[in-house]
Amino acid sequence: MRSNGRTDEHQLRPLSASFGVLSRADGSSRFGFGTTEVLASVFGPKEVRIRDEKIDSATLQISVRPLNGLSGPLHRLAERQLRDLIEAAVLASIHPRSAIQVTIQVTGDDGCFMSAAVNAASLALLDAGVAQRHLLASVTLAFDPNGTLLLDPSLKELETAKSVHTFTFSNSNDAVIAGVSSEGVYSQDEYKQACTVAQQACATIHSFYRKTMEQKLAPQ
Amino acid sequence: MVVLPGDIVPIPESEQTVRVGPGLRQDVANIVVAKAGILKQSVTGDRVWVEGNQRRYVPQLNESVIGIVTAKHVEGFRVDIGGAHPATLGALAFEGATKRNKPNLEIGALVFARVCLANKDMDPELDCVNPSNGKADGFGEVKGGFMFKCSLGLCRSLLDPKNPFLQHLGAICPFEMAVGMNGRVWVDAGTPKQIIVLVKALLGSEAVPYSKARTYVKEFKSDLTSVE
Amino acid sequence: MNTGEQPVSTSERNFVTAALREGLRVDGRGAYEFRDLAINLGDGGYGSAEVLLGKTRVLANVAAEVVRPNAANATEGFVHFNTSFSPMASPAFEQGRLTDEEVLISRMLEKALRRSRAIDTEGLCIIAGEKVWSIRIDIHVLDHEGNILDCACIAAIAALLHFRRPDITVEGDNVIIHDMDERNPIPLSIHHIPICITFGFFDNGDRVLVDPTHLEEQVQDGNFIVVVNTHRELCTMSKAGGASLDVARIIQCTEVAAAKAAEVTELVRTALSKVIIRISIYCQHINQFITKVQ
Repeated sequence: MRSNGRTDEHQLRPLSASFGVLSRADGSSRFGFGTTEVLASVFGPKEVRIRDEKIDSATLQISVRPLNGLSGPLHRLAERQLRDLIEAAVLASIHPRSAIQVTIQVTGDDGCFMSAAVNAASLALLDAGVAQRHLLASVTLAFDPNGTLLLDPSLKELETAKSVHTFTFSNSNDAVIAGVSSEGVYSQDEYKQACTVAQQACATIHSFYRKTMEQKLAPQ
Repeated sequence: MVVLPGDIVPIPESEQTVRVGPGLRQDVANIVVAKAGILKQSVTGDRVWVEGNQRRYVPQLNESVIGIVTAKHVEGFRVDIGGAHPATLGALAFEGATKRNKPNLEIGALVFARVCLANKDMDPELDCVNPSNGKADGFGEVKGGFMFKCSLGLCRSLLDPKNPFLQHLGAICPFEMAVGMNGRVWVDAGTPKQIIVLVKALLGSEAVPYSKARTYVKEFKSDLTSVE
Repeated sequence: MNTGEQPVSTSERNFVTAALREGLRVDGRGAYEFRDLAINLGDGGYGSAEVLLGKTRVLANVAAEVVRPNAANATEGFVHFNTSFSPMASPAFEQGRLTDEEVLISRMLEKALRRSRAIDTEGLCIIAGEKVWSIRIDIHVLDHEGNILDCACIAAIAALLHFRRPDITVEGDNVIIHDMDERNPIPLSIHHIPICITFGFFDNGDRVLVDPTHLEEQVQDGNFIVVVNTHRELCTMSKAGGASLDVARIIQCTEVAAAKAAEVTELVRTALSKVIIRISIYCQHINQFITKVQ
């Protein structure tokens, strides 16, 4: 039996999302896979320091902060991956010489905080009304020592995993991978299997976004 | 219908040119949604846009805004309007201003002004005259009262002539109001207590549908009319 | 250049003072009234507390590890506070650069929680001179709508009271750290609960308010901070600069602070007891499930 009472290897933990959580931020959101939860905030387009400004586009400032301890190389890596994804999604050229600041705070970590961060950031940008090309949905998968593919692994499952893959798909073209990051030892077939399962899971997350937005904007 | 960024909007049937409004963008042959909201279409079908809400202001030509003066120069003033860049307000951009007779705004003063220049590559510019007749028409320094911040959606609703909250509140307690489309609203009334209650009532009206306006406003009646 | 913090207009400044002269606060509160306090415990596991004071939001998280003690204090463990002002809380907070406000708040939290000896550091000793517990409290300021200090203090103390460290068995020179599922984890030994109460003063010291909002903080002439516990023991006091205050005012403030501290402590205890009830109900469910399966 997996965490959260799951029996299926290809089952996501219960998803949770909310908007407008913070008062000062222009946009904010919370996203969770079970007890792994992340809070994201967006400020912008706002004033930028002259040394950071770009004449033809908004400057993206991304920060990822852990729940425990000081942030380290793992969080710098997360910031880098998040930046690449957000840069491709946000229409930064309509706000030159300004800054769009995205901050991620991990509030609970039972594995897969990076995927939760991508999802929370996408929703926070949505809440802030920043123009985007598409929305992003991300999931993490792991292969256990027996070669079984586990979707949305917990920390315990990640500890013994042979390889871990984080896939991100946009909602505008789900045949194209928006971002992927893999580590460990895995075969081509395993990668393809992970990709297929990830695609389906991300489609589920995109429907979840839509339902959550519909409840917020047109509550019946 | 609720739309999300990335959704493709079918081009409405119309013989005229279809104008694509806020929240949408053109991507080769498609109209694609850029912001979350409710997709709206004009009755004649020639305009389509996304009705959404946000808190950050992006200056648009001809919109009225409330700014805070942050610096004074010979040629004019530097004004914060809450956007990504500070705006400039020319010293002569007032009714009847001449080189010898310039308005004297202090740092921290509130101005109700019109955006006369707004494009993404330049700092926005403001003036305090109605362009059609050169008169002040309500623009200029705003003194006293109190200013509060709100979402851009609430500002638009407060500018709606059909807004029932304003009518009902005004009937109980007369007040003055200036609405900046940059998410700032200035209010003045007889006593500080009335101003505080009005601010609370106006902010809370965002979550209440127009149909429930009368019952909502009744709750504030006793606080607005009590003499203390 | 100030990147993003909106300036305060003269209208707002004058109105706050004018309203105070009539005994009114902009958000309708009384001078000695706290905003609504919400304490959420345990979403991130033991020792995690997210506190909302009005709209100000602070998250505190406690973690423990076994380390070697200092040669000078061989029987004492460590308590380390780390306060981080996330850029998500306010456009004035930037990564890497600390504002004066941030430095003052970090220092006050240290004084209130560590130097007041609220946590029993001798109780953290495992093997004298060899192994002690090192407790780390991370305080994340998430939303700045005024009075971060009082909110952060409540979050930190709630997290510390909620925290459970693993149980240990000492066999000679070996220390066995038991799994949280194996043996019930142990709470920290906390001597007393220091509560921080901040007063803002206005109109040259004539008006004093508790729990100032962000706008009130920007308008105030200065502030006065009292850290006190339910036993009416004064842990820390701070009045750094600002307009001068009458001594009688200061005494009055400490009285108000003592009363407020008692109220807040009660709220923290209620929040903690709710969590414990939830945990024991959950355990009962699990026990029933296990008996059924067998």
